[in-house]
Formats: sequence, structure tokens, C-alpha cells
Amino acid sequence: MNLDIEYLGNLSRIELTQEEKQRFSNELAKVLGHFEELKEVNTDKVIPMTGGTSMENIFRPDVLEENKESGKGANDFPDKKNGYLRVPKIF
Amino acid sequence: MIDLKELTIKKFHEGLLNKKFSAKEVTESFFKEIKNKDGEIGAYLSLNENDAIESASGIDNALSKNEEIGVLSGVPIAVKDLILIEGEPATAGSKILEKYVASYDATVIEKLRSAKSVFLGKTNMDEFAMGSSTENSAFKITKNPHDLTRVPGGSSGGSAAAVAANMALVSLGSDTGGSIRQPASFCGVVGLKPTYGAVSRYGLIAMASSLDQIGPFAKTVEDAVIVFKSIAGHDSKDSTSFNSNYGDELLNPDFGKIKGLTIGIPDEYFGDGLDKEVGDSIKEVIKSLKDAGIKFKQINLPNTKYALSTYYIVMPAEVSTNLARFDGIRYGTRGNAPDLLELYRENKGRGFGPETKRRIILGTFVLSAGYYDAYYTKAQKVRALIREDFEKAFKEVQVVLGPTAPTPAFKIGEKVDDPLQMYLSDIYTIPANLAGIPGVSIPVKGRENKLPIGFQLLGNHFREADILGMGQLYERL
Repeated sequence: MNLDIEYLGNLSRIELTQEEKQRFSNELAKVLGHFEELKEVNTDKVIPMTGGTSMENIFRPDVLEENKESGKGANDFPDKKNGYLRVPKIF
Repeated sequence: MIDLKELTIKKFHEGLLNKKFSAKEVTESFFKEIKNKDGEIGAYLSLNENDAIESASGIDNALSKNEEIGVLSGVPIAVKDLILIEGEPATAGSKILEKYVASYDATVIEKLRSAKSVFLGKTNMDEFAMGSSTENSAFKITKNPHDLTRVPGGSSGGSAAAVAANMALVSLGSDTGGSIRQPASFCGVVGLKPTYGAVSRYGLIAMASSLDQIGPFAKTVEDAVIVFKSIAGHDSKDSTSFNSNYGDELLNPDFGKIKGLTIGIPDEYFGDGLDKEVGDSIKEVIKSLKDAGIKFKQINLPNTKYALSTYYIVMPAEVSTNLARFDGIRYGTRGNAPDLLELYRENKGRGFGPETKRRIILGTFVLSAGYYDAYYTKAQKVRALIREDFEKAFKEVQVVLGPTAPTPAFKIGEKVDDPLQMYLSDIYTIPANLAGIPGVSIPVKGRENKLPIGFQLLGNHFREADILGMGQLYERL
């Protein structure tokens, strides 16, 4: 199995150095080799376990509440002006 | 002089009530110990001395007015740096969160705060809880208090070392594949990973959401029970949390009943790769429990050998999703990227360490078109089989016993260049996370002046009372 590290780096939005690409390529090839053992497990009739539990989620009632903490999460935002948060251009 | 080494939550509480010491004196003693030792050990990333002493004084004040105080009042706690405490840094051991200050309390912190516990500071960890040695922290290496040339385990290495070195009475960590139990084993303390859903994850910086659980480190099982009981329960902010009504059996186990439980010994946990000294120690534990009249039964967990592969597909998949949000926009130094895409690439490239990048890349791969079914869906199916193994086992036994880690603490630097070797140190702890069951690591007794070794007790879903009761029984033998 050959991993296209360049492509995966792009998908995950991470800039990788040449050295990292080389290193991860080798290391991950080894890890993927280890995964081959899963092929020997017969899982034909098995329902995948898609979460940490087979219990159902317990949701809170969907009611409107006043948020007194509004804006607190932006305290550390590095670039803001008059209550607006500034980011680099998108398009 | 307060003997911090012998101090437990109950002794501390009684000491306060009997005016043997004040909460402030004890908190100050812990900070003194931290100042003396932590330069060498490196358990803490940040300290919270002023607030801690102020909260401790509040307890003393309440006592002087003869107000009633709870058992956790004034208890000095260290907190892993991925659990949010309002106004305190929460780096998760990563450069990308170096400047982040939490704007709210995690639910576990809110609960301990209302129990009037004292937060000493935030502890070192592998970046985003990814690692088994705490060497993946972006900030420093934590050393094992029992041997400074060795790792404390990971990823909650700072929290384990803090308790082991008497720099906190108890601490909180998180366990995704063994990150509480393995460092507990390496540092000679008790570490509990609760049932998935037993403790709210709200305010825990997520690594792998279907595996993560918050749990306590302590010197005794009883202390771990007290902390666990206080943080467990349903939280409307975490829809996977569940109120299982842990009753009195947790705090006051009926040892007559505990003696009636049957312990299963899985063949698969005693095969190749298990260090001889660890294996022998576990056999001693089994012998002393047998001598105490506990029944044992040999069992099989046939899919155990696939747990590591399964975990290293499911976990990185969730990691790559959870960590996508860290883009350097909110808390980082942004740099001069001309557009948003370039800014993401630069910030993630600079902000994440090698292991984090490795797992994001791997997770992105197993979720990518063309490979999703072959890797991710396949792993989710094998995960179901691993859980089934435990379901079958728990029809015959109530507790499963085995080693926590295949070896005692290894040397700093020993495994850092070989990810697969590092991953193998979680081989006995991973299955519990995949199955969602609780597990506790307890130090093997009689290892003074030797490297600590832990044994692990696994229980059925929400049956912490069985493993913690058995653990307390072992401690009393």
C-alpha cells in the first residue's frame, strides 16, 4: 500500500516538509501493513459499532435560553474590531 | 510537618475536622513540594497558586464558623491540561493552543468546584492526548518520579507523576486507549477509566469522541472512588452521558458480596510480549486473591489480538475529524498567509507536532474515498466483535484481571522513533475503550524500591462497583 502523503496533507490542510513526507510515508506504510491482519476476521454479518455505546443519546429539550456568556469565547481572538472578528480573505 | 505521602482524602478530611491542620496549610505544603521537586519531574504546565490558596482559606473560614464541609472540600487536585478550567490555560500539550485560556469550566470541574475542591494547576500530557510516554508534549518531558531516566507513561503522564510524587492529593486525566491506566501502572498509583458515558465529556478537549473518558488518579482505590462518584452522572451538555445511579455500593462496598464475585483470567493477556517480571507480579496478585477465597476462571477474549489495529483505525479517524477545528484563526499567531487556505496549512504545519500530524494523516486516509469501507467500516465491525467478546465473558465472570501494560516504565527516548513499538504499550488497555467498559489499574503491592507494576481489573458496563470493590479488597489483604 502506497500512501499519497502529499494528497493527504492537502486534504487535512497541513503543510508538511519534505522530511516529514518521507518519514510519515515510511512509518505509515508499516502501520498499514499491521492492519492487514484485520482481513482474516470474518465480519460478514456484523453490524458496525458506530459509537462508544449501543445506548441511545439523551438530548436536552430544545428550548430557547438567554446566553449570558455570549462573546466570551472570542476573548483570545487575535484580530477584532468593534465586536467583529477579522480573518484573511476567503475568495 | 504534614505527611503528604500518607495523606488520603479521608485522612485529609478528618485532619481538617480535628484541626490537625488547615486546608491552607495543606495546599501550601503541596505547593512547597511542587517547588522542590517539579523542576526535576516536570509534571505541571501551569500553576494556580493564588486561587488555590484563596479557595483553601475559604474552607478554613467555613470550618471556623462550624459550617459543614463535604469530603472533597479543600482537596488539592491537579488537572490534565485538556480539561477546561475557566480563566486557566488549556494547551492540551500543543503549540497550537499555547495561548488559549478557557472561557468556561468543564462539567467535571464545575462538579468539583461545587464540592469545594482546590485546583492546584494543569498537568503535562502528550499533545492532544496522543502518546504513551508524555514525550509528545510540545512543552516539556515529564519524568517518572520512581526513576528520573524513565517515562511516566502517557498520555496523562503529568497527572500520574503529580500524585506519585505527592505534588497533588488526587488528579484528573483522560483515557482514550489507556492514557489513565498505563501511566498509573508506570507511576505506581491507582487510575480509573470509567464506563463510556459515566462521566460527562463537556469541556474535555476531544481526541476520539467514541473512546474518551475522564477519570481520576489517586494513591488508593478508595480515593479514586470518592472522586469518581463526585464527577459521574448525566449532563445535559453531553448527550452520551448517563445517570447510572451509582449507589452506596461504590463508597461502602459489601466485601462479603465482593468475595462472591468470579474473576476471569483471559489467556490472550498473558501471551508473547508480556515482560516476565510483569507476568510474575500479576500471578502474585492472583495468588493473594485466591488465598482470600476469590474464585477464578480461565476465559477467552479471542479478538483481543485485533484490538490494536482496530484502535489505530477508529481513533485516528475521529482525531482527524476532531482536530480539523484547530486552524490557528482563534488563538494562534496567525502569520502572514495571503489567504485562508494558506493560513490553515501554515498554522497546522507549525502548530501540530509529529505524532499529531501522523495520526491526522492516517485518519484522513482511512476515511478517504476508496478506503473508507476497507479500513474504517471494517474496523468498526471488528470493534463490535471485541465488545461481543466481553459481553460473553461477563456472562460467566464479573471481573476480568490482567496486566495493565506489557512492561514497567521504559527509558526516556527508548520508543520515540518507533511509533508501532510505542503503540504496543497500550495493547492491554485499548480493548476496554473499544468495548466502552470500565477499567482500573492498581499497583501490585510489595514493590517498594522497585519500578512499579500495575494490574488491571475490567468490569461490565456501569459496574465500576465490582472492580473498585475488588480493588479495595486487594488493598486490604
